[in-house]
Amino acid sequence: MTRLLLLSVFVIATCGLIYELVAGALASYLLGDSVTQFSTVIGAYLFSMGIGSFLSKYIQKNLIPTFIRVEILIGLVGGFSAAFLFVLFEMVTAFKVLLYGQVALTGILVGLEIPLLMRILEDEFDFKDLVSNIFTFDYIGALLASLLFPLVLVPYLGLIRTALLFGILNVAVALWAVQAFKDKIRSVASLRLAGIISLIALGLGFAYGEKILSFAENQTYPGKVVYAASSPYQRIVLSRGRDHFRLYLNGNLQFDSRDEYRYHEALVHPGLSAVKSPKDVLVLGGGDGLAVREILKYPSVEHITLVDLDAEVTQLFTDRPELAEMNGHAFTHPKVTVIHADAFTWLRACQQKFDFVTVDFPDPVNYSVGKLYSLNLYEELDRVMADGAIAAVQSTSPYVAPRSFWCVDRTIREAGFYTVPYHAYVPSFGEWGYILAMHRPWAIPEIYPKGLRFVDPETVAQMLHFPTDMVRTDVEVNRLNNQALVQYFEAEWAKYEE
Amino acid sequence: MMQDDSISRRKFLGRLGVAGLGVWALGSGAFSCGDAQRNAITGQLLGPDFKSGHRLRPDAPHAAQPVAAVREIETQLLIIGGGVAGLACAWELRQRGFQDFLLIEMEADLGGNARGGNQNGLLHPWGAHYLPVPDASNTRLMQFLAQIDVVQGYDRAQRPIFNELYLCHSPQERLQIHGIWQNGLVPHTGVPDTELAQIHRFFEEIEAWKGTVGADGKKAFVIPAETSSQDPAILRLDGLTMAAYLEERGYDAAHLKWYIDYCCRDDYGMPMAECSAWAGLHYFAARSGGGANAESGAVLTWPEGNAWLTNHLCAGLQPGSQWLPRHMATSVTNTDEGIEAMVTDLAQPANALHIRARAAVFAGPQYVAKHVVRGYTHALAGFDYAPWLVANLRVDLQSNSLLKGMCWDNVAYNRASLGYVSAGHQSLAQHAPTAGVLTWYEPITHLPPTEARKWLLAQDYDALRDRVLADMEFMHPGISAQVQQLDVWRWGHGMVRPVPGLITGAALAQARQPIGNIHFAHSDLSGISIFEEAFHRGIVAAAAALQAVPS
Repeated sequence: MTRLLLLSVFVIATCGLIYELVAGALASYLLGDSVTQFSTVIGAYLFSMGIGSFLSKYIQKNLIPTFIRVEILIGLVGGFSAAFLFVLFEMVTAFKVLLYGQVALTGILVGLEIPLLMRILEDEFDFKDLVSNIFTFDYIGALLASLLFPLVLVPYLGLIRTALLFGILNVAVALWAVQAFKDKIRSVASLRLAGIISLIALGLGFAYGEKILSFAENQTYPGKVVYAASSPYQRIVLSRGRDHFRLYLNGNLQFDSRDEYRYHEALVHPGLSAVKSPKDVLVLGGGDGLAVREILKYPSVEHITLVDLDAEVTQLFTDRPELAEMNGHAFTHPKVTVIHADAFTWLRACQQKFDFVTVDFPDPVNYSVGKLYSLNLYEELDRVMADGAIAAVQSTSPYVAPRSFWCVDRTIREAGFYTVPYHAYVPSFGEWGYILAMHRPWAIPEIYPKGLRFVDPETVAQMLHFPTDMVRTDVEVNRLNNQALVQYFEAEWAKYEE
Repeated sequence: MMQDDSISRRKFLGRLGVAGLGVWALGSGAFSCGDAQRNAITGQLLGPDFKSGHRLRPDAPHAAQPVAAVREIETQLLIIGGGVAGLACAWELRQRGFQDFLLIEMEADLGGNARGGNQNGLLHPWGAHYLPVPDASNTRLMQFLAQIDVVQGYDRAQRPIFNELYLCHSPQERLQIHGIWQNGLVPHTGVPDTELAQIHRFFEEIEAWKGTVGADGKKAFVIPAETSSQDPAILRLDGLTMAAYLEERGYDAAHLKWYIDYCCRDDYGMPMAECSAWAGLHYFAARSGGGANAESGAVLTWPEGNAWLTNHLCAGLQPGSQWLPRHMATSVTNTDEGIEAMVTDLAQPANALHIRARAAVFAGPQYVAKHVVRGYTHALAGFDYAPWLVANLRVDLQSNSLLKGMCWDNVAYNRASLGYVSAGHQSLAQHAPTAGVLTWYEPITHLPPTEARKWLLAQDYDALRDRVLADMEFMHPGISAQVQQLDVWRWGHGMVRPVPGLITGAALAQARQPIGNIHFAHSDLSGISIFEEAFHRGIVAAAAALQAVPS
């Protein structure tokens, strides 16, 4: 009996540490910055255990039934913790409140366990033996948990099922205690029923853990989230795989560090290399600074103005060392000025002229962004372009959304430009389209900056060819008062993603 | 604009139907918001200065105010009223190089029914809020629009090219019907095929009317209305109501009747059972054009509504020497040299102005003219005006999914109100604004005009606020909690009501005639209260009044 009780100390100690590790790992995974997350989660957890220990003195009678109830409760709260936090991560804005609330609740309950158990066992042992035994098993359990967690549990079970498994063990302890103390307690039947129901719930959760995980991951992102924030304009999520980064804005992939060079070289060089000694360059959108990095490869460029709505994105790409390195410290470069403004409004007020412009707006997913692809915008763009200037416009995928792509082309031509549509293959995006807008005929540039990995004269020649599955179609001009593009885009991408 | 449909949008709107079903379940719009919540909304009761205006009535108790000082002013031409007609008159004078005029306006701001407002920096209309793209044949108006960069040129087919910043952006209109929001205002969701066929036939008939030419060689329906065909076979339509016309043509589809009735209430502030069929058809058939980049039926609009247009109309007017705010003419009299007017400075009622001029243009409504113009002889039989209630609601948009899918114009089927327009619709900004202003309209038609006006003026702020919120709650259950400010405006005489016989009647023709050197300019002289008619009246009056001025 006493041995079994000590074994239960061992089990619940292991469970307690596992919940703490699950919370810490989950916080690092979802919120990034593992040192901070682990440190604050462990701190909050231990402090909450202190609160639980303090509260234990107010439990005067019915020690055993209370202990059993606490065990069942821990099993449920801790067992479902990972599933609960995963699923709610994308649904709630105050995720941290939820996380620390969960940690505190688990901590308080775990903090109650050992004091209660010591008082239950106080008649069985001498005080010195009691303390020694309980803490020995407690710390052995902790060691076991901390070894099992990274080596066995996370790789084989994952966070969600690990938590559920230990929830089951916690409830099993409770059920064993019901059995062991059935002569000393009155409410045997109800405690047993509660335990069995909890066990079934946890068991079902464990069996369908994969489903919960895939549901949760559909809401989140592949790879490990190392940064997540909500700016006034959008949700910014940076995830990290084994050797690469991915940036998502409002859940849409902006780039993958493995192949972004293809996207940005194709966006900048076919146009910029065709401009004779460009001096002033404008970048609309592109708050990651990756287009700026390409533009800075031209020594004749004296000044780059980048206009992006979201200060939090440019700040992220200025401050985070690995990201600043990726854009070649574009935002701290003396030639670069960053303006945080609404592109359309800024453009309408702009009195400057530029030799080259990259227009790198998000895809036209709604009526608001659709205005950035309207005839009016291109007319305003024309106004800020110097004689002989070229603009390069990202124009979604001509493979997935040919009508959208050719609608952008038609709209730019309607504004009086001569256009050169082209496309490049970017593995993480697929076949991607761009359009050059200018007033003079364009020829494939022969010379490019040194060190490019993708763009060269032969590659650009290939980019100009549109096979039958991407061929020009008859489409409307995108105007503010018809928003034709948003409707094409919505229809084409919806069909593609079906 | 009405048939601007796509399958994916339909799907999207269909999804919103779930929310709509909630509305349906609430039946006739159970109004659930509590007193505390309503009282947390700030707002005020606004409207034209009818207290000052009512002093013009002969039965007013304090008609004679003691006058301390009288200032003598001489000018060539006096314009009384700074609404669209008066401002168009002043614009026309300046177009002709004539600067020696004085415009007086009773209110603090120019613009009349086209005035706009501002809630926390967000512009919004208080009345007229859009201009349908005019036909190229409306030359003077098109010249004005070209001057202010609304018309940017003409294509090879001589179709006007409109500035797309001002053409109403997409998505334009939606209708909440049978529990869901459909695209466009012409009902099609849940409408039986037989009714759809009637709706189709009606619009075909409108197309036919657009091409109809009378025996006098003029088009049947034109803006300005007075240039329409005078063929008796067409003018006979002014003898029956729009409801009678529909019956005569064999239309009985409920959804079509709702739509036509909605249009009559929207354009004329009156139900189709009271509205002239000629006026009703004029609305649909008088604008054939569109433009190089605008469909027929497209509209031009601005956050502050037509105040954007009146602000441009009065640009360059010299305050003090060419126009005076808060000045009310109490009398205008013909004299041997021209006219003289007694004017009260409403800001300092003890001060009066005595203005002498060669001629005057009375650019106010006729129900005021009869009290101000001495020796007024026009009969004004059939003239009446529709009272309107307009509200501007500032709504929290940050945590708000209620307004998802919002269009420029948002209307609910079978309601007393006309729904609301989103004042910020034309914004080019990318970031979602934290708050937006919705302008809500209701012509008061549940009582005859005079009683309706009395009823409206008897309502206090709380009653009108609750009326607006109840209607908004019907469209968007729970929206009250997100309303930050709600201002209401009472228009006692919102617009002239084209009852049968008004437009073709003798009273209207007579009312257009000058009395001596006093000319009249107001949209009520066209029988149709729209920007184009008011503008036209101002232009015509300017030309006529200039005859009295020695060159």
